[in-house]
Amino acid sequence: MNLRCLKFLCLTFLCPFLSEAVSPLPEAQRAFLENHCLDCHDAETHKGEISLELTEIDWSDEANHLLWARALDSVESGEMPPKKRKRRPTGDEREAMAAWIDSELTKHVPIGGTPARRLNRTEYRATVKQLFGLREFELPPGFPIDRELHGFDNLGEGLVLSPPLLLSYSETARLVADRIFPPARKAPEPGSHRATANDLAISYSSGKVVNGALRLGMKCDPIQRSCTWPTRFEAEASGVYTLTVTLSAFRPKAGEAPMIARIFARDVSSPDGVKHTELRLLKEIEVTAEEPRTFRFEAELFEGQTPVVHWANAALDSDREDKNELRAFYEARDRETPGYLAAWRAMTANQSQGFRGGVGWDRVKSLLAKGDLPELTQAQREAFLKKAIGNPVLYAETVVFDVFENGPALQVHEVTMKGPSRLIEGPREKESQRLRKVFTGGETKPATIIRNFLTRAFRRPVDDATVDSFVELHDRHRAAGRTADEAMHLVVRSALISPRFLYRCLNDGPLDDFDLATRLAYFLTGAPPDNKLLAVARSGRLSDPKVLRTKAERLLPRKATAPFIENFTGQWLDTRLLSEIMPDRQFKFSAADEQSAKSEVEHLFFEMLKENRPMTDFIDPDFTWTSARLAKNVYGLKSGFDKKKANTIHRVALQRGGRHGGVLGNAAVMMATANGVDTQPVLRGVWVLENILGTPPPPPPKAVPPITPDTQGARTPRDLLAAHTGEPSCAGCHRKIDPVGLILENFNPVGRWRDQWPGIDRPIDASATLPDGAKVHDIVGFKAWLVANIDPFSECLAGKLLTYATGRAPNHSERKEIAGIVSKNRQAGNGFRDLLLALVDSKTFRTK
Amino acid sequence: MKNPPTANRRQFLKATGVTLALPALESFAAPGAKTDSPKARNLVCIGTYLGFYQSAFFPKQAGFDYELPTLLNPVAGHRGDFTVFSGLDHRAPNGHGAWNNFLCGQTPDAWSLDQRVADAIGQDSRFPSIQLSAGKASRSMSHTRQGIALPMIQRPSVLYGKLFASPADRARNEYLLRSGRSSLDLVLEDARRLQSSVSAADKAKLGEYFDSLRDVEKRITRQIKAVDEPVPETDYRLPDYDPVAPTLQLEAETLMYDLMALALETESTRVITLFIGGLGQVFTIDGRTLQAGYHALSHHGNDPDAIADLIRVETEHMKRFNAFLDQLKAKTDAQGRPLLDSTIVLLGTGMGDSSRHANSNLPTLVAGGGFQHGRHIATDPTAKDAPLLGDLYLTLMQQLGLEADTFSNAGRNLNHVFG
Repeated sequence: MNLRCLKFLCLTFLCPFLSEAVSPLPEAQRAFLENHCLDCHDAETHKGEISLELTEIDWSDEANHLLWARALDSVESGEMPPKKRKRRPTGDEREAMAAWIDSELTKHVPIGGTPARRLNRTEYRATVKQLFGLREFELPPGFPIDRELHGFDNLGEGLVLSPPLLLSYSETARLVADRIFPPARKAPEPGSHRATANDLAISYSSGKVVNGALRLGMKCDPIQRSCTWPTRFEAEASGVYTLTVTLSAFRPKAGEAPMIARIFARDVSSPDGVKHTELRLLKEIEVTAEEPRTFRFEAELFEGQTPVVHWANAALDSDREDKNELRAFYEARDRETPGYLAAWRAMTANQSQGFRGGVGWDRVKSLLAKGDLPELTQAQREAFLKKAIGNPVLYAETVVFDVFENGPALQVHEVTMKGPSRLIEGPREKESQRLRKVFTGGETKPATIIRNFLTRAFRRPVDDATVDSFVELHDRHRAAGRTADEAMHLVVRSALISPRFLYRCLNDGPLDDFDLATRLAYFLTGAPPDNKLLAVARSGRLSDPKVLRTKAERLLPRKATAPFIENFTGQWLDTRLLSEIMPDRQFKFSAADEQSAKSEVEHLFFEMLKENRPMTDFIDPDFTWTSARLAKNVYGLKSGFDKKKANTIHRVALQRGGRHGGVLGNAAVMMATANGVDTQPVLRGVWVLENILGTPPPPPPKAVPPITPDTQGARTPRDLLAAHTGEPSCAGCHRKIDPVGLILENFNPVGRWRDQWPGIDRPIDASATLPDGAKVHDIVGFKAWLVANIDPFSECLAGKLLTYATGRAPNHSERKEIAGIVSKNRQAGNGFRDLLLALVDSKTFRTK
Repeated sequence: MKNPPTANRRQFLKATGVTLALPALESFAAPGAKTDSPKARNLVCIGTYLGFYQSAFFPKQAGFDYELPTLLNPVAGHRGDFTVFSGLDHRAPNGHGAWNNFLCGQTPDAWSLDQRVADAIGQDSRFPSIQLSAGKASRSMSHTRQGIALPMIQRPSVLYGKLFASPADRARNEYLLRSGRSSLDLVLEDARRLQSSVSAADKAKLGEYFDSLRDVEKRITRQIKAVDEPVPETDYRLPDYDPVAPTLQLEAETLMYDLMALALETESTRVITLFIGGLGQVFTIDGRTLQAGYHALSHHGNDPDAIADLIRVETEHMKRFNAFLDQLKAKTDAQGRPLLDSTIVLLGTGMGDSSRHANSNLPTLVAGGGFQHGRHIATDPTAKDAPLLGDLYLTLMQQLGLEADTFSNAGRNLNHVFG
């Protein structure tokens, strides 16, 4: 008897309650392992870091849950023992082994088991916002990012609490408390500040100082690309200031409407990319005189603000969807200056970038001065205009230097600020009045206010001991001579770092109605339960399946941009990665396209949910949501979309059985699974296994570097991948990964269809043999196969939804429950909303 | 200084192969146990968002006798006090997101060099570490052990307030700290009550809460103690505005460097990072306003005029960096040594070539810190066993007295190049 057995025996005798956690391996299973597994998976070789040389299984070790779930998959699918082995188990042996593992797993891995779940970043933000009735609430810059686990950032196990995070919570709590109960401050002395042209901000191509005046030439929305403001001034307190702005019109066009200058107030700390349309207008000024004129007016500036000058009716704009103005601009200049367009065309002929800004304009000027420019054909003119209009950031930011030099331009000579002549209630003061009302709920007794507040903050009735401790804290503070505001300030700060606020469902026993309300609300709305839902929880009826379903239906998203849809699709399909990917220039993929791509997926998901579409429509729908730009440039559509909606997502009918449409073959997913420059079939293969088929491969062994086929080489990616599927240590997983990755090779890094591998003159071979032995030719065949075998996909998506909802990856027993729900739902029409509602009523969802 | 056991030395040789010259025993000894008197005491890491134009940064020749490239001209006076590296990076993929790799190694958002150092040596200072940015911070640079990105201070006045708080600020701060401690006591007591009634798994999770709470409590206690200590005083005065406007980024850089030197001199912290932003800022240099924003210039597409302006901007960064080195040489630490001798200054970036968004061959320079400097260490990244940027970081950590054998994908060190 070895030591381990001895230990086992001791445990069995001494601690009978532990014995259930350790099951000895029966003789038949030991023989199976001995005969079919231990050649590779013994303690010494432990191939794939797996050893099955065991006499018992310790089910208290969670690693064993995963190990045996994997073993079950391998035995059931016939993947193990490897096909090439001479002696393989008979069908009966295999079935018996699978049945044994299944029963053991079911017995030892019960449904449930989410550890206390901290609010993640987005939940925390939504919670604070809702709790205090804040209209605007952004987390402080650098508020810690959550870690992902199993592809989601809201899993109990992954949501670690660390000292810097607790510090951030504490700091954020103070900021929030300051908004409700602002600390008293000293009023500043009035002063004055003068900003000449050289003290005005310039960024990108927003302006240029010539002869002591700053010239503005564009009207785009983001102020950093069009406006200017004093760089060394911000209002010290909210108050009335006397502003003067000295302006003039530089070479205004005769007969045109007068120039309109708009003065806005802007928070200095807001991002420079803020749009003037979001700013508060202080004054509108008509500028007709070519000589500087000073306009004086009184305006309210809030603490931390500075005045911003914008030329509202400038001709140029580098951001708008309607580019006709830019075209008109070029054409007018070409009429005035012969050779203008020819010079531009020559300047940019061999350059995709580098000329942006005044550099490019200087070149155009020297080309014009040299003369001898060829007459452009109509086609050449059109081609150039198309290019220039199509890339307004690059071109408008260059041509604006012509405006700075030759006008018409709005000139800003000087801006002065004097004051405050009197203090006013700024947004801070106004907001605090409102927030106090929300906080007290009209109550005046501190103890009542505190009890009500804690009940809302902790999302459930709070026991007396806890309430009393907060009331005592408040009273002690008052007794120490602090103000009532300071005492409540401290209560707020304390509640927001309490584990009862930071963690959800942190209670003894099973998930009760309040926990269920919390789980449901965060799942479907990304925010805490509202008063209505809490009332149902209080009545004790929420766990009734009918009531639960009605309440869930009420919380379902009403629009495609709902937090649930954004957070879930972004993480399920990895489209959150889009902001990190910079598509190569050759793909002509704009920032707006990237937004559209992300939005497409959200609209698809929303329609699936709203219309209770069959699950197969995730794969091969007869519709898609897209923008005109993506419809044309990525999906190669000729018609069916609205040409005017260049960057606006709208519904477009599709033929079923096509290349695009559904979650495969859309721009967002194809981008997220590539790197912006080239495709990597292995990445896409892993993605399909994980997110479509629900059979994620184990993580790659540590010692091996990731294999990225060099698509620039002479051999095809398929050849290169074949090289390592031949490698025995790689083959096990890559036989599954590579084929499904190669199926997607027809989609380039932004999802556009291609027939040739880039860099080599070879047609793409996207054919593959699927896990069940079926052979498909390309994505169309793969989609048809998925539609015919939809359950694995539905189970995968259901598993992801429950992972997101419950905060844990489904275990063996939970996956069995999911499979049952999916199969039942298929027989009942296979609607997606029905599936989601059935999942809410599952034991998996209802168990802690 | 202790010698490492021979077995380690053999493993080292085996692991690195024979392509590396045998490092001198003296410098090799540095990785031993955390030494009582490390050669360097402070770490400053500076990262530029848009990198440096490579051929103006990397010298053409390797070794001591290299000809100063344009961007190193401004620091010519410190030539003997820095080492410039080419060919180093983290072998990370390209793209904007990978900028964050700069101090994190191959995995973006992993425990960054500065935080690893701060966790080891920063805990006794008023501020375990300070994170700053000149210009808007578009990327994160410092990441905690848990992978959490740390916020950066963008306003010099905020940093100044931290270092040399006014009496009113100090009173409010003290009030917040003391009352904050009473709220910690309350939630601690409440959490203890909760803990007795939850499941084993939840208890483990609450363990994280208790650990964090204790840590925050310690920090608050330390800060309360510091309230009673005299706050360092300075004659240094900031302008009456914060240079947060894009046009004023270079001014912000100057102020941040001044305050950084003061922070080190007053021993307020041992670890500082500075992010140097790069968006639309249009700079005026020597009275001439550039023809395009910094970001547009970085996408130079090999256009010589755009490159010339880009180098002008980068030269301004280097001039300010030089002034910082000047200050570190002039100011002394508690032992009367020049600050530069005990401060490692790492100047680098997560961006190798911003025109292509390439994250390889990262411009890197190390100054001070008690190393023997003066060379250009040119490494060939295509060579087998070529060193990684992480190997350099290991050497920096060891110089600061940390026991460090691995950093991200790197497991050797570059101690021998300073030997």
